[in-house]
Amino acid sequence: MMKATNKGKRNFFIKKYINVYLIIGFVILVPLILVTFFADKIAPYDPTTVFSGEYLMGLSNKHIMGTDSLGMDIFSRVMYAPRIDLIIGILATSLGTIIGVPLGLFVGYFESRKGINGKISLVLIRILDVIQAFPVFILGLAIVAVTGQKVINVIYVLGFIWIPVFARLVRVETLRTRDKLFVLQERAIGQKNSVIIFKHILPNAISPAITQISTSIAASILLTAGLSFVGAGVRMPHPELGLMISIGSGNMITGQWWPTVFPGIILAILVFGLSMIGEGITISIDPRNWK
Amino acid sequence: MSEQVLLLSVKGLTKFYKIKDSSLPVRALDNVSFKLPEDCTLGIVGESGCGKTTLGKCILNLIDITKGEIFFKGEDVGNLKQTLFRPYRKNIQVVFQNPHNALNPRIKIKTLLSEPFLVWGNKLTKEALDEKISELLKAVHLDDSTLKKYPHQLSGGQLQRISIALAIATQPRLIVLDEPTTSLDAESSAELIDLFINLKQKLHNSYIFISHDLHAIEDICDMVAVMYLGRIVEMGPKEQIFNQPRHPYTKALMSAMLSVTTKIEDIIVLEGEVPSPVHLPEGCYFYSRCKVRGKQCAKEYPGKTTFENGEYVYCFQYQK
Amino acid sequence: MTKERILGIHNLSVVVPEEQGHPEISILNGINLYLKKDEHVGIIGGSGSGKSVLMNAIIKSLQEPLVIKSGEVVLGSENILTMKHDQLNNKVLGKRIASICPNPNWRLDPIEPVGEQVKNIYLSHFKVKEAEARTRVLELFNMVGIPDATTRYNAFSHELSGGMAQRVLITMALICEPEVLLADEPTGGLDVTIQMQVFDLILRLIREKQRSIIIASRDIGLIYHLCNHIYVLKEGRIVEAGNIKDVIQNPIHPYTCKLIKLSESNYKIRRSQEYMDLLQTTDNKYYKLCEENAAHCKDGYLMFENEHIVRVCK
Repeated sequence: MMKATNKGKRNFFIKKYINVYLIIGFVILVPLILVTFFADKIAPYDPTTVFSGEYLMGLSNKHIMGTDSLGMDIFSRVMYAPRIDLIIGILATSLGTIIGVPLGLFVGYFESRKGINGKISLVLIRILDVIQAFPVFILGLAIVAVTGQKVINVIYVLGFIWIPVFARLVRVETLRTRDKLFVLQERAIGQKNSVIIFKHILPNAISPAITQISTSIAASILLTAGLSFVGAGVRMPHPELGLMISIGSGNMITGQWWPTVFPGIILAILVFGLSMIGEGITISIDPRNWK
Repeated sequence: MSEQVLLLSVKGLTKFYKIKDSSLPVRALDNVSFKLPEDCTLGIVGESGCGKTTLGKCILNLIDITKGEIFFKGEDVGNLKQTLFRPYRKNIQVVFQNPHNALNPRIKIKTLLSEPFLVWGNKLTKEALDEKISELLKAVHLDDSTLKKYPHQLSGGQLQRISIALAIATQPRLIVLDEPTTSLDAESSAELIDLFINLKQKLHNSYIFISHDLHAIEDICDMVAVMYLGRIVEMGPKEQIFNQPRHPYTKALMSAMLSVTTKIEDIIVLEGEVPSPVHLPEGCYFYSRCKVRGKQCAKEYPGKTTFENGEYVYCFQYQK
Repeated sequence: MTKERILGIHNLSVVVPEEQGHPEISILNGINLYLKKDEHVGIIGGSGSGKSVLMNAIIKSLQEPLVIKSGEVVLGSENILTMKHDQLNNKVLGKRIASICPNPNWRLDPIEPVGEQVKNIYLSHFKVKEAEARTRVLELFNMVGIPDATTRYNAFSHELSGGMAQRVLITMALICEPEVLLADEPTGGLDVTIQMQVFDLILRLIREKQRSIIIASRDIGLIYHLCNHIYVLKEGRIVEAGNIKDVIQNPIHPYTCKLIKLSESNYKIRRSQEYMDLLQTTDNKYYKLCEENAAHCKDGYLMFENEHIVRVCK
């Protein structure tokens, strides 16, 4: 009987969990996150410092990425900007997960069952349908109009949008799992529904939701950028990628490309990195890919 | 047989499944009735489509019944909703066919076995719980080394014994077993049967043993009910069913136990196939494959002919 | 009078090759098995014995990660295992050796009518007109007892019951009149009364058509009534082989003895002193045999009269 050697174990782990997409994603994101995390130590200037008289200046030694129409250094702003985007993305996705996953479990478990829980489940599905049909931007603008342009509102709006997405994913898996023999066995033992749902169904139903997390973060960042672009997201002078792109877009015509293009590139890289991680996780947790 | 001694009494149990795009339902169970006393093992035999698994699930309240009544110790439990049925589960347990499917693959054996105690027990100390679990394992001839493992690390035979341990944990009066030996090979199957008879002698509870493994049924059961297309066609004590079967289907079934000592001439080979459970014939369901059918059999479903000691059969041959 | 040998399996070994994390795992070890003309060989063993692997190895259709480590499968005068892929598929499979498997519904293509599937197999080996091939298929459907052959010809696999599907598979195996028929658990996954139908059919085929057939099964009763020669497989090795009546009536290896007794026993018998004694006696006799004949055994096997072979060395 040969014991699996430590090297054997490590190689097995690598083959099992790690793949190309995860590596690419990490290679892209880790430096970016480190930079934005230490932005206050690394950035040459404070992102909201206005260099009077130096607006729309091209690339130079003093301003590596030039300045924008208000005279702020783009390089510094580009370093700080991902902070807000990532915070919004992570918090909004967390909101969606924390509310959406239990909702999906409940709806999936009691769907089409006799009794009051079954009826509640039907009602909830309809509500989820309605929420999912909401156009994000209209909702965003409406809320901003009522409560003002604050970051927290962006988080609420996006979180709200993610709830039905997570709920649906989990609902489908729950429906599939609840008729499996071991769930019937648990019911036959007399186990309470709450324990069955959280201890037995959840671990088996959660994989697609985990994959969705990274996708949602990436999408949240794009949406934030979009909302800022239309004036419903982050306000000036806070550095935020979408906002920077929006404000700089007018200058493209007159030939000053740097206020828009640099934040645009960073946005693209950030989203791409997150997508790679998302793809990597999907492949990594699919048992069919394990040798 | 007085009603008080009866553990389980099933009357007119019917379960129809609706299918899309059809007005006719699938008649999984049709007017099934039987009585099960304490300390008795009832075997339910039949082939695919006969409804025996559905019967098990109805008794366990895992699916809703269409019509009929189920009495447990005199109380009407057949139509109870899930939450109201829950207290009865302490006394009605189950062992399913494939233990690899019936046990959560992500949970260790120790955690699995502690569940019945946590659900039904009063606050047990850790030591008391551990002791109870060890006792359970001993009762099914396994040792403590299995506790740390996951289901996929055990063989089918061992895992099925864990399923049995799980079922006897609450000392239920009734255990339903749905094809427990079907996924096992000859040796594990024999071990399981021996274990089972052992337990039966110690615990004196009642069992409903659903299977198409006739060797196992012959070994274990006291009474046997033969099902065909959702109905019981014959029921009686084991010796009578195996040695002197009455219904033509039972006869064919018994002759299909192929062994080294079987004489080939004695084997009854049925022709044709089981009719669809959606389009059931007018008369006796077995008509299309019966070798002794008569004119009456095509027109009406035979009535019940009862013999002494409660045996009965549905066949015109015996009807006066 | 020695009959002509149709199929010879020499020293066949199948393994899971060594990989990071585990050494080489032996699945089949040195299998020697011979099929003579008009002989019916049965292979018996519990789950994990390697029966199905053996049946797949014979026609070189092992699933990953199993590989054939050594050995030959000689059909007539050629070694199948060294044949090129094309030659194997066109000249041998289906035409000279055909196989039947358990769980028949899964083995049929779900999109094509079953009759067409059988017809195409015939056409891939013989150059005849379509109409002629179709007639042959219908003939065979009738012979194996598929009622309403013309209607069933156009049926799809999901419309067929287990018993019907198995009969279709059997026609697929028979249509090119192969020299050797391999049946891997032909009654597996079927209802008891349907098993009897298939058993009856195979019995008829053996008696009327006199085919050479290898049947692998867990069911001793099935093998006893269908075969005249038996090989007992345990954990990848043949532990006993010989004429069926010989082996069943006078089993020497403890495993064979146990299998036979289990099939006829019930709880009472298993608990009885007689039974335990019998098993113990067989064990004792066997170990004595091993000790006494350690010097004589050839490759670990002892041969008795009537070609009754028993594995003795550890």
